Amino acid sequence: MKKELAAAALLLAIFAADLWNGRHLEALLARMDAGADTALTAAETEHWQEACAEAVSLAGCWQSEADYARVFLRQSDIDAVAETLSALRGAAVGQDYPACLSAVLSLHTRLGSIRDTEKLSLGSVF
Amino acid sequence: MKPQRGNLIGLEADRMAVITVRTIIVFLCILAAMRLMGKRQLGQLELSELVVAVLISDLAAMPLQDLGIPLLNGLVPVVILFSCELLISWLSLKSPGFRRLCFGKPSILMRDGKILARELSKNRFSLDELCEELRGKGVTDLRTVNCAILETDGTLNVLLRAECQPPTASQLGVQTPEPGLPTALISDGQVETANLRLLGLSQSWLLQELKRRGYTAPEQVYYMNLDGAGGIYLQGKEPK
Repeated sequence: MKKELAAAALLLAIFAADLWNGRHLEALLARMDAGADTALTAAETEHWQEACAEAVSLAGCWQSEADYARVFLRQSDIDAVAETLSALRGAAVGQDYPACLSAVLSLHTRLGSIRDTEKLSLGSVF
Repeated sequence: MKPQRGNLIGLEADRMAVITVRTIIVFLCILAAMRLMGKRQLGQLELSELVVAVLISDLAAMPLQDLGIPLLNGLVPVVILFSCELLISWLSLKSPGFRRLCFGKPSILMRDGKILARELSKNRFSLDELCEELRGKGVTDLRTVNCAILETDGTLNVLLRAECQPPTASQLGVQTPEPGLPTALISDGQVETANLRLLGLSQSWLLQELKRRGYTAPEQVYYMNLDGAGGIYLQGKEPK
């Protein structure tokens, strides 16, 4: 009976971890998306310092979740986002709006791809 | 800028270390899961347990083949599978209906010496397979078979006719003492103190028995056991 209770407890713990992971990841991705839009808006209005600061903040936000990302996300996804953030920072420093736009769109695509893969839906299950 | 050769070697060493640690973790996890499921031999696995065993090995290998996949992607399915298996085993123990649903029920393929053709075809068991399984049980003459039962784990159990079964000591009127269960006292030089305690024996008794047989210490003995009738089996270690 003890083993079965432990098994049931393990299953419940895994379901709880799934719920937590879903919420945490959604909050992170939403923060990243919002930050990318803010950086783009700043670049659009040629507030390059603000754009740079936002790009650096985005990179810092992603870096602060590095441990979480390594445990829960695929390495290829982590590298892709890091690469796009680097491109965004470079574009902001170089005051290159088209490059900023491209980087932000790329970031939205990659974050959306992570969201689609990690979200529980018919599409991701099948 | 090209990475330095020294750095490349460092990166490869880290990869090897990651593979090594992941493999050990996965191995320990699977070992714990299979141990907790409680079966030791493949032949004793029920259908769902066999499925779980096969799945677990495939799933757990994923993060070993691709370091880009998080280790949790291999371990979480393993934990879920064995937890579900434990719960299914418990439910099948509590509910005969559930057990029948998951594992089916044994099928009688031969009764009173007659082959039940309908049961054979229902279980997709050919006559050749039946004869093969019977030969595996040491039965070559179908006339000696009373019942043949196909169990839920796929094994075939055979009950011979009474006149074809070897006679027992009680049928022959022969008195035989109960041999009892042999209990190990020394295993590879190590004294099984728990077993000694269980049998109410002391270390001094053990040393006395060893001395009687020409040994001075338990470390010289490879295996020693004591059966219920007081018989001792002892084998010493080979000289190095």
